Amino acid sequence: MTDAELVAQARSGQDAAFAALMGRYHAGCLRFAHHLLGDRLDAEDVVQETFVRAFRNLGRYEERDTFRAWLYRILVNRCRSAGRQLRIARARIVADDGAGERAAVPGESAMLDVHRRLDRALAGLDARHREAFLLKVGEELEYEEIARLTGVTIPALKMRVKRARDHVRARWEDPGHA
Amino acid sequence: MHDPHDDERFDAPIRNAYRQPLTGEAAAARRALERLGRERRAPHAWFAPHALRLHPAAALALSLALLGAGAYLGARWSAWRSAGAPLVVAAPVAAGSRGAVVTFVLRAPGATRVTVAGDFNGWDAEATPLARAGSGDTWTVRVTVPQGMHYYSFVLDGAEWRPDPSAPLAPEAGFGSRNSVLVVSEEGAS
Repeated sequence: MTDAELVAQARSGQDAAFAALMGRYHAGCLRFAHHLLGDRLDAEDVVQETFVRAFRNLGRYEERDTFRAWLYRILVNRCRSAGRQLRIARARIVADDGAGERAAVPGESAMLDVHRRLDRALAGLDARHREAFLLKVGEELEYEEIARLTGVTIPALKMRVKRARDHVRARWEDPGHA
Repeated sequence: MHDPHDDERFDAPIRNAYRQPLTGEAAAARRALERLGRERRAPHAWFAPHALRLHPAAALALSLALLGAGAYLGARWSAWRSAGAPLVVAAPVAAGSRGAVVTFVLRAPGATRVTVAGDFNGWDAEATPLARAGSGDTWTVRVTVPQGMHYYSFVLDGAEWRPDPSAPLAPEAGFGSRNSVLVVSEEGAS
């Protein structure tokens, strides 16, 4: 069943069809928000808000965009809003880089390791570059799609992705890179 | 000189790391569904009654129409329940340490195709078709379902989402109160 079919069914009042769309995209949205915001709990909250807003506004969705692109537009906007609040909050607290490791549950180390390594490689990258990099490299969206959902021009996006790639590459290949 | 293939070689492991599941993804999805269900039931969030202004005569006519529609739908629901109630709901036949084999059964008169979609198959309405038992109206499938609480719904003819009438509807978690609940514990499903 295609996304368009599920959207049509959800619009006709079949809530389970929207639950099916959530099933397809929730995990991807959570990963994007997690790596963009750098905080799992905030990411989960943002993704919940994203699906609530998507459901409320399903009537406004136009099929010139894919459902995924439309959903990610909402997600990006929610992340930007949450990111601004987070930056204010983080400025008031002392950073504790070891907190995540100390809170880790034994047995989850393999998955944690790979995400932690990625988080470290992304560390220091500002929100605009991180957003462009994750949409292009992580989500594999086309530049045209990213431009429509972020409101940023394609040349600017290409520049951001290039700079972000250079930043991430240095830290990915050399985890000790500061 | 910039080589796009070089970028792709670098992007591949990054993308692979990015796509690894986060711990607790399924639980997070369930919480999202719960929140949607809560917000859906909060009338102020979806509908502003103060925005509606009706002439008293129009309000009376609307009330009568709603009463009539309610009576009609109630009669249709009762008729459907007596004709199409499932024989067995999510009966476990084998429990294992990681889940249970569950038999989904639905009586669906008139349906030409029945599938089951839930969080155990990524809500894929095509992934798990039920097979017609003989030439009757009963459809069945056996599925291995991991331990935990799951939401699911039947899909008739690729278009009509129908909860399992004999399974409990998700109380708080039921987004729109339309999904059914299945709990698989170490002993099996219930």
